[in-house]
Amino acid sequence: MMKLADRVRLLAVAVLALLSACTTTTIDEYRRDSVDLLADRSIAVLGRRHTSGAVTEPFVVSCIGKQIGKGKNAVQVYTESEFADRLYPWFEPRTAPLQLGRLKAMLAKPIIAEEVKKMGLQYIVWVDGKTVRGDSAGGISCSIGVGGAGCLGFGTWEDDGEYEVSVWDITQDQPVAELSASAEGTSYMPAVVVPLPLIARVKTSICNSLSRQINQMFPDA
Amino acid sequence: MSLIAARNSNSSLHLPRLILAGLLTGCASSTNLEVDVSQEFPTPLVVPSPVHMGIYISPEFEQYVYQEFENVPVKQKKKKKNKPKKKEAKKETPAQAAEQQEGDEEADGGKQEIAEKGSDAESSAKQTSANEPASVDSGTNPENAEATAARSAQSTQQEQAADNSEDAGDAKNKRKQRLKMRVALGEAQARMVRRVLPPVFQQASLLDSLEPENRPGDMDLYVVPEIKRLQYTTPRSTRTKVYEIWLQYDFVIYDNNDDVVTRWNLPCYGKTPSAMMTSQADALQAATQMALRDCGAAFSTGFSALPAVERWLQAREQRQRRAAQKVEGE
Repeated sequence: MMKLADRVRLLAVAVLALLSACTTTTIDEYRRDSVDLLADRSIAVLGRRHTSGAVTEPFVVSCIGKQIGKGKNAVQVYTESEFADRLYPWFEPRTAPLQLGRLKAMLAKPIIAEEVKKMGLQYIVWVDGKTVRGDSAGGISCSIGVGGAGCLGFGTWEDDGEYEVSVWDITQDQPVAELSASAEGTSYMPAVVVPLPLIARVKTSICNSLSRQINQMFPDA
Repeated sequence: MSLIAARNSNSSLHLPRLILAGLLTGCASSTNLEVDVSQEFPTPLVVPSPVHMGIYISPEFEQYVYQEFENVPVKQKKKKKNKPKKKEAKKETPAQAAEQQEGDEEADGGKQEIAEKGSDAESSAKQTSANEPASVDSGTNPENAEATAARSAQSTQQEQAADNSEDAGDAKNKRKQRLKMRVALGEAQARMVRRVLPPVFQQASLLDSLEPENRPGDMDLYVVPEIKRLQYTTPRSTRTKVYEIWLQYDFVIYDNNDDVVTRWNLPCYGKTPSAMMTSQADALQAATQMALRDCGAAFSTGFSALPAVERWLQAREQRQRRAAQKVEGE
């Protein structure tokens, strides 16, 4: 006989499997040089938000940071807020360098260079992109009456995510690696009395794929 | 046919309309935002400017509240003198009655549309007036920056009085005013100024008043921040999934003789994706905090590059050099 806890676990797994609809992720990678992360050096993972349209989701940025931090080749990773606070006001949306040349000019200021040295920073990973809602179809109607309430129908929608990642070595003039990832996911929501959402986890899929690629760049630290 | 006749004669069928109108009114809500004052601003990593700067935060600045009102049209009741016409319509053929009914509905819709357009225009005008307390020009004479605050407070009171009288006027026009947005920004922006500005200067003193006897003797310059404008957008108005907020400040820098060195206009911007936020207030809260942080960044990176400040520093250097030469000559 199955114990109650096992049943609950099985149910949770089944629900999770149901809740994740299909997602397709494509990764393109360009690596300029071999990347060697020196011992006791660290990485910062930051999102691009320099224009009104650039709204890299904090979820994706923090997710990539966490995945890199706990991978096989775990390295010290500065979160976006921690990094921006320590180097305030130089990595705010209005002041953050868009090219490595600007970063080098910034690091020429002794006060910034000293702080970067204290932090042991070697790489900056910039994440730029967003997930947008694509086509949607179907419809669900719900009604409420004296006898109860219920829904009937079927809805489906697509989410498209396009992200670019640029890995900067602060000692070099060119990005050491550039990755681009795109993911498409179709979510479904059948409703027979109760709506059952089957959500495509596009951002999580992008995060997992990109962090795997970034982790592979760094040999055992 | 009987239904059309019933619609013309039976007022009980207005009930669903009233319920619908009630529901729609219920959907409209105002946002009241007290900007979180617990936000920590980091110390700017900049080379301090070689000046002793006084920082004066006026009561007006510290108590700044942005308020935006909108006019909500109140549906007028149908006049009784229309009733005989409707009774006459009963005697007409069903087709004529239907035409009459359609005509009535079109006329009602037209009236409502005009009323709504009117209310939109007034709402935008009201928004401008809500900004006016912050837009009061303190003038180039700093003697009375405190008096400016008092004037501004007075103008706010006058506006409130005007609002009340407008309310009375609106009652005649069957419109009512509703608070659409309230952002209590004063305390948070004062906190930002107190935290971010001092490290930008070699020495900084927070001033309680602008009276010359209350200022440190060796103070070179003093700065008085003024908020000029607050604007925001929501996903509903822009159809993007972003909440945005713009703050426009004037940092008026005076020398020790109370002459204006420069009036630095500083626009600041903050935005947050709506997806991560649970409510409009939360999203605007985060956007406002980003905008304040942006202001701090703009001030700390831009102050030493201000042409007027550069000129002032050069002039001071020349004065000091001449004085040193004079001492050497003696």
